[in-house]
Amino acid sequence: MIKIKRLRRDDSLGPLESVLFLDFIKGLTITMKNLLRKPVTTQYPKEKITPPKRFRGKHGHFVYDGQEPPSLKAIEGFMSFEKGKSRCVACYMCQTACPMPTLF
Amino acid sequence: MNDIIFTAIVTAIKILVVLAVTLGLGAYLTWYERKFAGHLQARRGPTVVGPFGLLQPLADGLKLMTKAPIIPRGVDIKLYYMAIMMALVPAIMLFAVVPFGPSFKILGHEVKPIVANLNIAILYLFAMGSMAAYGTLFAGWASNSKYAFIGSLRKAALIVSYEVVLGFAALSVILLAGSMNVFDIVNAQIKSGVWYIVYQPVSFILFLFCLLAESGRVPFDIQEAEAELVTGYNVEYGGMKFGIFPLAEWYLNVLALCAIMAVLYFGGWAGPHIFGPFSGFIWFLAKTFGLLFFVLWVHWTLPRYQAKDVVEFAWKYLLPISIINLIGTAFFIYFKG
Repeated sequence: MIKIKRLRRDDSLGPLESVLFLDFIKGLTITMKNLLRKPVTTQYPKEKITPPKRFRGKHGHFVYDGQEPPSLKAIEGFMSFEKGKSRCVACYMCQTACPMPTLF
Repeated sequence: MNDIIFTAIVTAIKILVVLAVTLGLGAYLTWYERKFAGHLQARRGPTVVGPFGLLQPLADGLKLMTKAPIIPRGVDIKLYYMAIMMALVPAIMLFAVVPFGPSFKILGHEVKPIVANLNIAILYLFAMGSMAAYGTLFAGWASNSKYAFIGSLRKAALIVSYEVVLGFAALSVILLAGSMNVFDIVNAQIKSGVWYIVYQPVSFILFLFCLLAESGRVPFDIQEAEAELVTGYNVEYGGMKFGIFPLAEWYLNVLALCAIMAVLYFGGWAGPHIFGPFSGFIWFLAKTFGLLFFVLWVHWTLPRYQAKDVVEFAWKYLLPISIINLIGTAFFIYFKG
């Protein structure tokens, strides 16, 4: 099972927090960290990110020999699954995309 | 006679310099804000027009000026145009009482780098600060639009509440300095060797909040709450008529109030003489822009308060705190000094 981190938010701030503006300071530190970071922008018409030739998006499917693919990390945050079991939902997209009629 | 002519010429030069510098700076602050906001959010900001996007303000101005002048149906034409002036003029007039540096001598005359060396400078500041509300109110009323009207009413409520707090916050500094003249306030700080932020941290924070509220900055920008009111009181304006409002409110007002804040709490041009004859001016600008940096930083970080919360915050918390701070300061001065 994935551990989901649950944040508790009170309706009102504590006395220390509201007097010293700790909530403001927390937000300000985050933006300050962003200011010192490199911009993440891809300037589209000038620079383009080239994906691998046959890239069709990441998948987290169970692999034949029981090893989990590294791309599993991409979907960990979005869905729940059991390790080592197939996560095929029988959408038949693989069959549609297969160049040779070897699947199914 | 010679003296009068000299004074007139010097004053004219001062006015021209202040106008040119503040309007130019106001335009370039748009570039600075966009660049800064971009980097705060790990973006790049303007990069296309000129090196580092430095020509962006000119391009923006050109774009705004070439827009077709549209006047919506049902507007009160006189007030519609008057609102622009009423917004811009008080914002520029605030700079009349900003001292840009220590006094120096030209041809045997003492020249103070301030347009009007009033002995009620801080009072003048409050007056002009409140005048800015008229521009907003007129714009909202004349536009014949409910968004603009609600936005302007919110701004009026904001100014009425925060002007009181601003007065009480600045009054404690005036008590310490014993004068409303900006030169006397700075000289008192230089004489005592301590900036007033050390004596008055509470008053400083209150003043900062009032600055944010008066100039329509986050977290108090309820009058132009984009999600509710499109853009508030200037919805019905187009082209450069629209451009004037943010210029006056977001840039000139903030710049002037930051400069006054540097005078009140950070000792104006006080600082070590490490830049030669211009060190006073450089220190003053450095302090002003440091405060401006903080204001922009807050603006691009925090979300917005609800309209009811903002006014409640002023009357319920800020005003009592400011009055207690003022009374405490008065007692301190009565018994110690």
